[in-house]
Amino acid sequence: MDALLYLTKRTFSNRLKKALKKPVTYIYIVLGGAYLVLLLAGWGILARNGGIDSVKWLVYILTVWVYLAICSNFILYAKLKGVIFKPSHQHFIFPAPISPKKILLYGAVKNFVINLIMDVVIALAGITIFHLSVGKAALLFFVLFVCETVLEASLIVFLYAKEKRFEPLVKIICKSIYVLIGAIAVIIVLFIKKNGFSAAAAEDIFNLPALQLVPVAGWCVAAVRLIVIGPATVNIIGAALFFLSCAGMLSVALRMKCSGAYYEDAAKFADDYAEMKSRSKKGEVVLSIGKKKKFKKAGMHYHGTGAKAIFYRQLLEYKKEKYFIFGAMTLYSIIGAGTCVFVIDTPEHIPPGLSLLGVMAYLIFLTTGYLGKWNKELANPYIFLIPDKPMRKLWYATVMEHIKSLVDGIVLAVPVGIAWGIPAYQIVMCILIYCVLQANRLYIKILGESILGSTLGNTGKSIFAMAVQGGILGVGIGLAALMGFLINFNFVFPIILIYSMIVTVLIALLTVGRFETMEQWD
Amino acid sequence: MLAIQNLSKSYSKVLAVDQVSFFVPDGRVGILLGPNGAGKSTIIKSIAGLLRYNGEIQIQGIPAKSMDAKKCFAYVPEIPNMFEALTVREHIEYIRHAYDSGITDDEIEEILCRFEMEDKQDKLGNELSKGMMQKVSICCALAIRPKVILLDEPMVGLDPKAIKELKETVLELKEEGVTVLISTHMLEMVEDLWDIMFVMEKSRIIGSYTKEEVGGKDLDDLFFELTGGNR
Repeated sequence: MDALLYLTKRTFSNRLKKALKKPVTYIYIVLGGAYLVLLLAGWGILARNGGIDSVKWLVYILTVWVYLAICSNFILYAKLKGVIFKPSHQHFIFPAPISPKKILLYGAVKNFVINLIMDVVIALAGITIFHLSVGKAALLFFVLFVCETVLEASLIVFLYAKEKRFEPLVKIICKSIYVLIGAIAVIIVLFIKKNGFSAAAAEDIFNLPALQLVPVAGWCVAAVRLIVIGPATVNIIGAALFFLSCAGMLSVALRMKCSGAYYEDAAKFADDYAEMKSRSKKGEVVLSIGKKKKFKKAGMHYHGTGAKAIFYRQLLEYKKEKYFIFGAMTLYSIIGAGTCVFVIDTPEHIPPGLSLLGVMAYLIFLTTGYLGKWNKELANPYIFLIPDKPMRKLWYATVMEHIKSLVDGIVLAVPVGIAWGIPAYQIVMCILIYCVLQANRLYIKILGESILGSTLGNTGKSIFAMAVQGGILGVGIGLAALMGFLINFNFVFPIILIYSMIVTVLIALLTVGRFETMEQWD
Repeated sequence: MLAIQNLSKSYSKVLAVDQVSFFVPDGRVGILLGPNGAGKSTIIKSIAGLLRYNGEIQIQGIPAKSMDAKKCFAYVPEIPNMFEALTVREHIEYIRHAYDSGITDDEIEEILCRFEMEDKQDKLGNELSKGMMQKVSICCALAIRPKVILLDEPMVGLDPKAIKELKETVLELKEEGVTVLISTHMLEMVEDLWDIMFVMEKSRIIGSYTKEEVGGKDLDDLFFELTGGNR
């Protein structure tokens, strides 16, 4: 049996066996299936209500999809970053006597499987939402999956072969793609300026014949239009060019020599990608792959000993960061504040103070998965070796996060409070509640790690944290609403604050044990 | 045999290996020594076909990138990276398929027993400790039945029994006429194994000796003499 086939078969079989042993797999299957059905049903309702449940809108959506897919694929593959290999591939596959072309296509299988799933969903959506006949949906699947996969696989071989004579051509195509994207943006802006922003104007843009004559991406759109809408001179020409380009690329790829010159870049990207995945798993927000993070120069004078050193070390690390303590949560707060100030008018039916509190609670709820720098502390054995009490370690390992929450809370609450005319004491209360709820989220996360260990993956743990925090928030809001309704509205804020503080301290006390030993609880 | 001719490799503007040439004949053990950053790993990775380079590398007289050369070449990297979802035995089965090495089940059992992995055959790649991964990596390399084998810091992470077995294995391979190249910092570990020594510094080979040439001279002394450091 072919070695790569053997590898694929055994990997799939072992993963399946392992997954079937875990009860959580069945929960994920049920949830995933329900999500897909709900998604299709939701899209259906949205499309019907919006009056876009016709084949022509399917064509418009696919125009965007095809352009995005083909252009982004080309740029990624040209940078040799579209096919993701693993460090195990550089150990066992690259040095093996296997054709580099075959290895390349083996590495790209994951991309093709994703295409398959997406194209099946598109074909199903075509039938159920956009009233496409089954025959046409099958033809659409043929163009989107079979032809595009042939094109993509050929493109991968062409670009990864790294033949010197084609390098200038590849550079020109990459630049042309950026020019094309810019040109399309300019055309859209000019069109809207002339005809105004309306559904009719959008339709006019999508129906521009030029969009069907742009090499490859436009030709693919023409083929889609030919199948979905029916023949027209432009789409027949475009479709013919598309099929010819697929056949041409396939023939080039089959004849092209591929010596394995891409192994060096692929191996480096495999290491960088593995590192990015590992950092993401630890909760870091990784924005670029393979670039070494640059740090500023900074110094620190430590005040105090024992667990306090954790706080000062974190402070030193933040001083070396480009944006100091302002991170992803600050950005979300700015976006939240901007949306509230410029998009949403001052609420009329709900008191603005409560609305702001709702926005803040919603933001915390949405960002349950965000971990921040503190999370790395628990993976570091030194924290357990520091001669100090676990309670102090817990406090000093997380106090910086509380300071960051305070800053983020101010960034969000002050501009919104001023814009919505919220009394100052309510703004202060909102900020304090935000801080406490963020602390609550953080301690629930530690508790989840301790209780669940490796039983659930990161997603499972996030769902657990969301469920626990959702429950706690629900009880608090219910309690506060009741008191506000029965006694006085002004009691709502202090009640939520005091309630959240009590719950947070209780959860924090439960997590103290996590700072005693590195081992998780049984 | 392993022949390197005018090998050069740059990373952007940094010259990592500069016009390096050396030769290890059949049935000889070569050791590649040098301080950190001397360019040893770059040479090893170039021989394994993982890097683009200038110059020529030949394995058994065939260009290293050809399929025929790859078929008789084994590589044990410094850091082993396992297939997460493959068991120990399946790693070796994969090697048997990829290299069509003709190794029998009994021979595989023997290799696994030698490195005390026979009872860990059903463990998945992601369930192994670093030392165990290194043992699997060595077993996989031996399962190729190579004519040329490249070992990059092979002793790191191994227990004393495995180090002893590895040393014996290297001597057996030598007896069978296999060319062995070992890159290491652990000089005392290769004291009894080496036939030819290549010392690298600042991207170049600054000295090469055969065991006969140096007589009874200590390997440490020779290394520090050439690199100018102190013991």
